Amino acid sequence: MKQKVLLLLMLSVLWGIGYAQQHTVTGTVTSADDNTPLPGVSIAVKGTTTGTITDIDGNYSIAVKDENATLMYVFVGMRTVEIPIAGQNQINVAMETDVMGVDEVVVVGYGVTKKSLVTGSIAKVDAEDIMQSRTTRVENALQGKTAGVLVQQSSGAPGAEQNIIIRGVGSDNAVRPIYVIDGMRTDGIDWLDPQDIESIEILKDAASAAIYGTEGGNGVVLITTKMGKGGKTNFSYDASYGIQSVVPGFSVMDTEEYLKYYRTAYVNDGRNKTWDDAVENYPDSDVNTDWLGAIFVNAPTQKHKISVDGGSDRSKYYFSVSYTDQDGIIGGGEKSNFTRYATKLNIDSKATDWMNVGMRMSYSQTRTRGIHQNDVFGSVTNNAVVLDPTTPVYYNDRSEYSDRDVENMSRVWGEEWYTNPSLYDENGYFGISQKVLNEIQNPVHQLHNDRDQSINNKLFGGIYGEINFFEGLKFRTNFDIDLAHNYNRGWNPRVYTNSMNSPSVRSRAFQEINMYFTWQWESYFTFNKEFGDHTIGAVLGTSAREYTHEYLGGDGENLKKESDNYAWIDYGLYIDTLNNTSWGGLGGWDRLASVFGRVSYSYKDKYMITSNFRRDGSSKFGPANKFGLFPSVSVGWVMSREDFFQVPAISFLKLRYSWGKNGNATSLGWDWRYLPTSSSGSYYYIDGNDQLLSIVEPTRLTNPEYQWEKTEQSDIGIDLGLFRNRLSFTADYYIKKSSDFLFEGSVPALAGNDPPTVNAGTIENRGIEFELGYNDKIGDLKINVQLTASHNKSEVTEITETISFITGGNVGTFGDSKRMEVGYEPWYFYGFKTDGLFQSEEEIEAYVNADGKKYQTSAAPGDVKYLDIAGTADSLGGGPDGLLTDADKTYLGSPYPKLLGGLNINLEYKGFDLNVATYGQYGNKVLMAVSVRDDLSNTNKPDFYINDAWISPEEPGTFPRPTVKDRNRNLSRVNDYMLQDGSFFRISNLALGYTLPSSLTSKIGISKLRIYVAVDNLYTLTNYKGMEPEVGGDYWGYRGQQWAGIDRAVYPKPRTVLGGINVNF
Amino acid sequence: MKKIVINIFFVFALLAITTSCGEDWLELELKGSLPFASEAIDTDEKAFEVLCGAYDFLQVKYYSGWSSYYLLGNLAADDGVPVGGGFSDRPEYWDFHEYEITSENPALLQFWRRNYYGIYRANIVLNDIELETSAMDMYRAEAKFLRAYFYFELVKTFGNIAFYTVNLSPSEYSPTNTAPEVVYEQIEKDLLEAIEVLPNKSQQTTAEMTRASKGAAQAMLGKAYLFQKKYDEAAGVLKTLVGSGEYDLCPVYDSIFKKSEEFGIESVFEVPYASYIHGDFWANGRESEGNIEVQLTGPRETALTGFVNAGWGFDMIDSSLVDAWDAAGDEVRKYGTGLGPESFHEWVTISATQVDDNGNGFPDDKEKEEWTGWYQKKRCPYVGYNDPGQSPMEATYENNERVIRFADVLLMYAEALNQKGSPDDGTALQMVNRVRQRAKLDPLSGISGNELFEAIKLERRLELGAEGQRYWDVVRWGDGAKTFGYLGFVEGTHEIWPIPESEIGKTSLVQNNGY
Repeated sequence: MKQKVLLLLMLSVLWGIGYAQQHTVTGTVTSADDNTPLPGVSIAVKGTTTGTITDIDGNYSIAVKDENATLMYVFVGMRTVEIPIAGQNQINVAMETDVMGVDEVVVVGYGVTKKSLVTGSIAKVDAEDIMQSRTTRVENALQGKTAGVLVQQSSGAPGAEQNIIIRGVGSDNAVRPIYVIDGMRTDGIDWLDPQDIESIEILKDAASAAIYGTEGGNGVVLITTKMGKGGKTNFSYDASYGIQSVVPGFSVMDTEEYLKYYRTAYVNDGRNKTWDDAVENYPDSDVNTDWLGAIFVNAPTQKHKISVDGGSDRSKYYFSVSYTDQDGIIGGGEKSNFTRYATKLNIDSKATDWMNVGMRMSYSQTRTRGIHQNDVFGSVTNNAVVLDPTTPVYYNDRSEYSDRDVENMSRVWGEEWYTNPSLYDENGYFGISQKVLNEIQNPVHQLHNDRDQSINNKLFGGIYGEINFFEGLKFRTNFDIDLAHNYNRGWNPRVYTNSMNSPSVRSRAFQEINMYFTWQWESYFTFNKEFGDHTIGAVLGTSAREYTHEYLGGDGENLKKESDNYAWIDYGLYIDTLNNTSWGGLGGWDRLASVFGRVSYSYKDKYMITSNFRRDGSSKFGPANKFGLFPSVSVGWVMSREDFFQVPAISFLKLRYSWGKNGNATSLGWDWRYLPTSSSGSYYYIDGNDQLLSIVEPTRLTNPEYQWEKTEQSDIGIDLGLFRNRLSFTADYYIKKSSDFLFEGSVPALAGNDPPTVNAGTIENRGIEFELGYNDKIGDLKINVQLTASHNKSEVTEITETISFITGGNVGTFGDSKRMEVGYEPWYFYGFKTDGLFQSEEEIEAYVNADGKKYQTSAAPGDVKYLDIAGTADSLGGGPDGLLTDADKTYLGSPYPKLLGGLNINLEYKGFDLNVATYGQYGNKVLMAVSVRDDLSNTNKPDFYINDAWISPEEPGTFPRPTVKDRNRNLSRVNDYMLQDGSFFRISNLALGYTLPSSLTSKIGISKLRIYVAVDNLYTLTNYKGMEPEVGGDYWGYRGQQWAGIDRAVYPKPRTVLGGINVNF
Repeated sequence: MKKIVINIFFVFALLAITTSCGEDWLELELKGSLPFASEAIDTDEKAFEVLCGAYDFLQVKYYSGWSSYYLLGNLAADDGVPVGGGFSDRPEYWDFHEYEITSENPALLQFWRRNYYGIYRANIVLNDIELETSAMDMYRAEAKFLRAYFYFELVKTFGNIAFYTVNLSPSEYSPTNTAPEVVYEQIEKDLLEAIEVLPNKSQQTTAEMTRASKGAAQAMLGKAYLFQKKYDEAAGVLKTLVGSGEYDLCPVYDSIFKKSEEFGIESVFEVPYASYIHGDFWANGRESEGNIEVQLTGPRETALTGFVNAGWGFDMIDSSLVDAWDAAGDEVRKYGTGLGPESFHEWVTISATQVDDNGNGFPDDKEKEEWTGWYQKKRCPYVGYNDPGQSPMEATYENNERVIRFADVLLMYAEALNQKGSPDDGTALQMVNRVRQRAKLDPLSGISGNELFEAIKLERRLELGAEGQRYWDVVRWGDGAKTFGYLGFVEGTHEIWPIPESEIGKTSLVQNNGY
């Protein structure tokens, strides 16, 4: 109701404003450099207070009283232009660069503003940066280029999702920002071709993001897609082709090292065992398989894109179609691949002189083939680490199968077992390990038999209408949809891959369809008006959104014919229908209704104040907490525009401060957990005839009280331009307090059911960010250097009173490795602290407590020495108690870096261009959990396990001694030997391009022709010993931050060497 | 101008539509899952489904950790050795064996959890269903039995537990410790009330056999009395039970745990399992109706083709128990409990890895030091007891769990008779000899008093080997330090185990002494 009153008021005020002005001039302002439209250009009637600014597309419209007045076009960084109207109705202006520009226009929620007037903290990445990084995924374009933005790579697999974390983690599960693409909010952006993007704005502070209310708590990534510039039609064609390969560096033990490890362990573990006994038990082998080498291949990647843009004075358009294809370096394109077909059509049209209509529409299809990775239970990557090198990839002959395997396989396939195609490919029969059992298998064999594909079709975008009532007042309404259809299909033949396998592993085919549909309807008024030195802006609008997800799937076992053409579940004749199962259901349904607004005021472009607000109502919450109000205010002072400010070197200086509140509810499911619900029926009891008895029970404990996660953030910043803005500097300090983070599992088990979702605590992030830019032109040399650096400190400051900590991050077979506890970083690594290795029996004997009792009774020289830290079981405080117990587990490090940064250099010289992009992080730990399956015998390990191992006092290595009877638990519980420094610095891109002189190309009708060569992921400096220091937070599809920084053999990021061409005509 | 007026009306109409939806629009009806409301449980069928929720937690061993009363009992006692894949495989089991039992032990948390989950569901049946029918009277009696059973397991294991008979509201999630006497009082009350209503086993149809019977409640009550040293009361209820004629010993010891004897003459309280799995076993053990511990304790990396499948090799029989049988000349129960190298003569073919008497032949000798040669036969992965057609078939063993069998009842009765205010050692001796007779051992005679008590203790060990009884028997006899001292038992501490640390952290519970 309140909203309606407000609207009425606003409308009646506007009603009163008259329409005295007569002559209207419209036009487009572009940059003379590249013909791109210039939004935010100030246009004033010379000698009056009348003025306007250009919109996002560079268009303007101004009403003047005097047809003979002169218009002034002012834009920071551009030479001011004065043009007499002389009766014209249309004046298009091309502005020339004055000094290197700082005053770009930035997109803010529901509008645009000049960068010089921004009072919040907004980072911008524009089309040029995105073009240069040529990434397959948009997120990578942000890496190292924006201060305070951590891009967490969870995998180097083609098309793998990436996590973005802005200014530290403020939630348990929901840490990602939201994406708003041309006004429509969405979650994933893998369907979007990065080259369709005009600009990306990251709203980092709460004040800027407050207009997105309950969804802005983790920051907002605003993406604006490209639009035609009007005038001439441009065609462009881009193509690139590259070869990806694995970056060498990580290696596991070869046969010699492997035998040395196990023989040493044999002697270490056995009583009076000699080396000869060990050799007898672990005989020499001629086989020396490099499993990692066997799974990695060189894989191509390519991209083609055609775009057309143009338009007339009444309408503009942008159209593109692109094809991206990236094969994976594990198993090649057949097994891991990402293909994207993306189309884009954007249209803006002036329907009448008072109304604009248009559309932003994308259709894309992505196809992903993935392999099982980052998992110690049977993933391809981990199998390649742990399988013994004494097993060959292929047998020379099938007679090499062990008797046990032959017997088992004959039971599956009969006497002619060897004809089964799951056992061989063109290179021969797959080797089966006789040493490493359970689910571990030959990874090449695994790649041969696993087939999985996911196809996503997506229609995304919408239509809008915009009405200009009169000078300064506009109304816009958008209707957008996000329609996604996700189809997964896979099958595997009946396989025999491991000597301990039951020979009954079945063939299986499955198909699954997910339908997602979101619609969003937003309507808002925009008012912008200058009154002399006063500029007033306002936005007021409403938004409604509904999300639904339904799914359907099924599988069938015992395929009668094991072939891709027959692996469909409705092939009733071919599949044993008795073993078919199907599933389906409602995957999600929620609604969000909002009112939002903004008021801004500036005086002489010197003093600015902006206030955003949003009131959201969500169906995810109970009646008491359905609505949330999220306000913000920000102020700015452009000191350099003061008369007293006379520092020639400083061309621009702005101080700003902002404060705001946001919410976050993305971690909540759709299932109305504030209501008690019944279990869905997958649990049963049984009766005496073994018949299932169905169960009804409350799904979980309910908490009707839970509410939004809340973020409150203050930001103080400075923007500085030096030497006519050649040098720019931005610094921000922020305090971000995220309270009431939602968590499941904080209720004691004794309450009797699965825990409800509760608001569990508060996390505070404080940090500083710097961005330093250098832009210059020395003769023909154009230089652009950008340095970003940020420091963030996260601390859990409160956990709901009944809990003192939360545990998570399970590793292998030995438990949790992470904790969330007051006073520490969220999900810090938690375990035992060590003090080096025991060098001798004497040292072990001498390591006693106050009572003279030995601390480590089962230790031997070369074992880890554990520190007695504390005595009380429930806290990190307290002193040593003379016992090594769980109470001695303590803080071991943080999965999050202390420092993040990047350096980007662009040089252009007479048609040549050179781009170097780097990023890095410092101070985080990675838990190297690639060889933690101590329940398995004879597993292979990274080679430093033997090469750095303690062998004897004469050969005192730095790593614990080889043992398979790890009674001292050197490597079978979380301790600081398992944690490594995860800092790294990476040259992510080096590109050299050459643009042919236009004098040459224009003869064949080409306006621009550029060719380039580039190397991605050229070099990484790190102490981390695993395959890949970039370890993200995902594990088996669980996104929880409890998995952050745990490496279970992550699919490594490939190195790519490529070449490409850009043609415009 | 007129145009503008029209525009504004148009726009206003649009905005009015979008905003007026308001709050009603956000009140979504529950879809895709039913609300759980006690008033909706208005028929016997619906109430029974709720009761089955409580029953289901008898089966649960793997929910968010692995646990069972007998596995933990065996490993802490001199009945079982963890072995499995070695010292690093399931360290929580090794910790019981080596008396490094800490409050962070995940098996302990799982055991704690399953009992409270059972209690919570039993409480719903008892407090939240208003239906008044004769079936409902039965369901309430069954729920009382279940609540008593779950509380008995908790109070026996943890001592000073959290106790409630009405489910907690969110403001009550932080309870304090309750003294064991208070819990036992409720256990007795629940069981006495249940006994009045529950049917005799002979009155149950085959389908109903998986539900509580009068005899099961009487046996539980006898056990609860025994743990409190209320010998007269124990003797009373157990006498009724023994005299009921509902139960007898299965003639062949070796058959008790086989499929043929499921709900057989000796079975007093049995938890059913069946070869079904619906869902992801690894994510949630409730989605399997199979007995995962059969897989867990089966011979590791060894199969007897056609007879016994391979398992994961946990909970091997402690050589101390084997020695005890040998000392007593007890072949029947040794070969009825253990599947050892010596018993392999039962099967002609031994395939897969051949393991000799010393454990040689393993892919490595990691486990050899603890490898005793004797696997569990009472939870044996017999070929045919699971469904190789289901995946993972490891989770589909249908071996039922004999929680209380008649031999246990006879020995409890004997103990009560021997220990009660006015002992009846003559009858006690008869009870013991009934058990010994089946084991083909000579009857005992001429002993009484403490000598007889010691004989009963030994008999319990030999008869109930590896059934998870030993540890708690020894503890209630006050023999912990004497018997398990060599393993690490500390008097005054290990009589009860630590309350899980995460529960301490979330509540006002005080940790047990010594942890």
